[in-house]
Amino acid sequence: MSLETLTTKLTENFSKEDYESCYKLLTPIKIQLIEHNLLVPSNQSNINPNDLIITRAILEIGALVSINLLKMQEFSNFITQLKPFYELKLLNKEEFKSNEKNKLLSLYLLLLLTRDDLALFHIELESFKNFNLNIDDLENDEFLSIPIKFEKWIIDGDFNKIFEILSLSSSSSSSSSSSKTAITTTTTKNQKFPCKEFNLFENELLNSIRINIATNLEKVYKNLPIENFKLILFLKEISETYEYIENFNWTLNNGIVDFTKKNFKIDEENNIIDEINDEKTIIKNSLIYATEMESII
Amino acid sequence: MTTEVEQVPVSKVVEQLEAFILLIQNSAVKFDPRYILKVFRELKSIRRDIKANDLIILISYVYPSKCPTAEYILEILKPFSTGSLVILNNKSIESMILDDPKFEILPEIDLFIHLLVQIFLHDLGETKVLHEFNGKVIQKLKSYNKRTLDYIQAKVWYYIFRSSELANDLINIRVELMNALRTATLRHDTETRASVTTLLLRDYILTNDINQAYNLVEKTEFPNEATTSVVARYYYYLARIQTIQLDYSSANECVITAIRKCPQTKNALGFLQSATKLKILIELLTGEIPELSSFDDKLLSRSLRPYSEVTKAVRLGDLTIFNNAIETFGASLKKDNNYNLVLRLRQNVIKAGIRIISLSYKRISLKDICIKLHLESELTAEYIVAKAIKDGVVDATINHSKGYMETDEISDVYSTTNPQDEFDRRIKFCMQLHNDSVKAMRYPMNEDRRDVDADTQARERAEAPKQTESPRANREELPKMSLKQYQLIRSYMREKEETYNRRTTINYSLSMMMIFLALTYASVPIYRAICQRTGWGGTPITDKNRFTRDKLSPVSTERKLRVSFTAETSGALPWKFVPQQREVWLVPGETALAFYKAKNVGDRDITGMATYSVTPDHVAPYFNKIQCFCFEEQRLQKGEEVDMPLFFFIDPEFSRDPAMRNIDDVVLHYTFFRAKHDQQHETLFGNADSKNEETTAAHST
Repeated sequence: MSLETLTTKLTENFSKEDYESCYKLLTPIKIQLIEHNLLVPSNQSNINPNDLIITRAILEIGALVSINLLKMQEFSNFITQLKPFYELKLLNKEEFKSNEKNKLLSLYLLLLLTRDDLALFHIELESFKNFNLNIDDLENDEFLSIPIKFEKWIIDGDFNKIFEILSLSSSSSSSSSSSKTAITTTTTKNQKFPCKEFNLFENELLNSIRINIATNLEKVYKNLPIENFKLILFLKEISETYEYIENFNWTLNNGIVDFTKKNFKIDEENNIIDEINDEKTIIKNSLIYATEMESII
Repeated sequence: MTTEVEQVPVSKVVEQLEAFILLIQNSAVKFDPRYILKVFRELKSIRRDIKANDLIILISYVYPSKCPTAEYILEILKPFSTGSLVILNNKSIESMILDDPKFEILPEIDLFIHLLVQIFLHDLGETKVLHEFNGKVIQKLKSYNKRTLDYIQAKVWYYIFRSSELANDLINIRVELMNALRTATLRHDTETRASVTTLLLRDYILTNDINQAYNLVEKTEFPNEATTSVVARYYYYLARIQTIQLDYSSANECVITAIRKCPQTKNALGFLQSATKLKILIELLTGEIPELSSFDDKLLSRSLRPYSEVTKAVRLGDLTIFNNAIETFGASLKKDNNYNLVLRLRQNVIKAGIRIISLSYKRISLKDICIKLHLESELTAEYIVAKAIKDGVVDATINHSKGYMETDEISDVYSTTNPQDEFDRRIKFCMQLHNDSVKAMRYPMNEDRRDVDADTQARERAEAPKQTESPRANREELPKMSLKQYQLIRSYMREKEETYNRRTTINYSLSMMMIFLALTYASVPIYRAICQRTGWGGTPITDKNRFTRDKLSPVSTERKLRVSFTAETSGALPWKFVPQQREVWLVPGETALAFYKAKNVGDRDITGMATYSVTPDHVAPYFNKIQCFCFEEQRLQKGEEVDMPLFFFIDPEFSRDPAMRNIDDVVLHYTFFRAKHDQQHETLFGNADSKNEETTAAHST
């Protein structure tokens, strides 16, 4: 099959939201692209910009398909393949700019957030300067503002705001099915996501937040009534609550969650061992000092 | 007139440049890079004065005429020269340095000229021309391979990169830089390697490709022994990368190293500024407040203004001040490329606020926290405080049902091992410092020399194989022995040694035994002699040398001492022995005479020996006898009765000794024993002793 037929098929299937068949088409298309020497853009001027734009569009579709199928590894592969296209000067002119770029990149940032990979997140943020966008511009962007806000809240510990947005969007996800309607509604300051792909992250993000909160709870509270506990973790079902208590090795008495660990006795033994180790280190250190002094004198 | 005025500085600069060329030639001949470093140091002062004319003159001196290199350089320089006709006439002076005009130019000098042209074009701001020129320079660089070029090469690469940076062509230069890095690494060219690595890092950071930069750092090894300014730059970039990756603690280390290694000249001020800015931000991000004095530096204070404002906001934990600072100084922060980092400080502001609250209140409701920190809701406050507690900003607990935060009791730092660890860290640092400086003292930087030495040594070794084998040859000349012979000799030697050892041991132990035997035998007399001399154990002193005149003068005191006399005989001695008087009153220093009466009531002549003692016994050292019957043995004939005199005094020191204050009663006691040899005497001489007894009796009386 030639590249053109494959591409038309792909776009057809994509507009029908038939992601499975799209996914099957992607591999032969990639092979075709490599044969045409298009998968990796070069700065040679003899390449037709239209070819590049088509390649870019194919890759963008690939990224969206893989994220809809929840194949995160595939998705980040596509993003890395797309990056050279976005950085290409030729394609950065106004008329060739991609509409999907910011959407995909912000999805990628969200993915990094759910993975708790803040270092890579910030590295990616830095690279936005290449597109002449600094943080303030990013915060005004309807797509990119979302991961940036989230990151800020996560670092601040302002988890309830994230939950608010997530719960709002999930309740009204039906209304925000197409991105175009969302663009028009953002002016009315709606808290929804501008496109449906963001909702895919909802559960993952919530889970990573919950784990964050749970570790916080352990340090901060001695005990907590189970109702409050449920609220703080944004849990809906009581069974999920029990699961968390089980996983974190907490105890539950009369509807009150006790955060002190069960293995308290072992701690005391550890203390004694620690003390012995302390003494050992003191002796070891002073021996080291002595030998050093000896060598100095 | 104008030409004259111009001529003077022109010739000066040219002279200086010629001197440089000579130095470089020196370094090329002697393989010593120090000359080149000297050239670079001095070049800084005159680089502003270099004109195209000077360079043209220099080139005409240095290059042989009609050299292709000289031609293309001249072509580039021509548009910038003024009054070139005059200069071209000067060409007749021709080659003071080179005797032979067809002499092939040294690569060092060739590259140095290229570098000069680069510097000239760069200072002039002619980036386009420089960019074109660089293509040729890179070609030139590839054609040479010499270690003395390293320093020049490193500089040349810097200007190549600089021009691409100014021309905004950062992507294409990467390939060349990568190639250069590879060749430099293969050739162990530390200078170029370091310089090119830093340039690549700069390239990546300028294009915001942090991931790529990080990969470079991970996969290459940076030569730390390169020039310090390059090392400083490298550490600065490293710190930048690590800050963006949120690895603040290692970033902090790197930026401190960068500042320490930064050259202390005015030229490096820009670098120092940006490094200090980064350092302040990193410190803030790690949750520390930089010292106020770091903003006070005269040279830096103006450019650090935005950072001092931000620091203030973080210290006070006030979000409104923080937002104001960002608004007012946002532009300059963006210019420094630090805006993103500053935005990250928002959470530190909140944390600082929480810390202040927890320090001032033992217990505070979440609502109040919410108001104080300008937060939106109580729930938000609870989450934020929880996060802060988990991050170790404050030690506190939250009571959810009652809605307050309670600060924990401050635990004593000294009950933990923290101070100990801290001391340990500092001591180790000091020791490290000491060791490093010792190392630096012992191994001066003459690594090139060392290589040369090693080479010559290796050559010598290769040339003289006979000499290296000589010791082995000597050994072979020794007469050969069979194993049996050798064993025989060895056992013989060993036996000899053993017998000698045994004999000495026996001798030693025997002599030791003798000594101890003698000591045991002599112990009684020795003891007595010691006692008499020192007055130990209640033995009055009888050493006559001590009775000086001053001791025999009575002390004028009211306090008189009573000296009582007692006497006793041992049961085996049939004598009657009593004092003539019971007591004597005297003052210290006064001499006194007393008598004892002894009568032999036995049925034969007997020799007796008296011992004496003083009670209390610590008076004994002061009790001096001048004359006493107890000094010698007394022999009494059967039924004989004698009066025995005792002449003594108490030492005047007695009255001055505080230990004797309460003593005014001294008892002098005598005991008579039968002398031991008395019995031997009888058994030995039997009947013949009666005559002897007479003579001894005469003696004793």
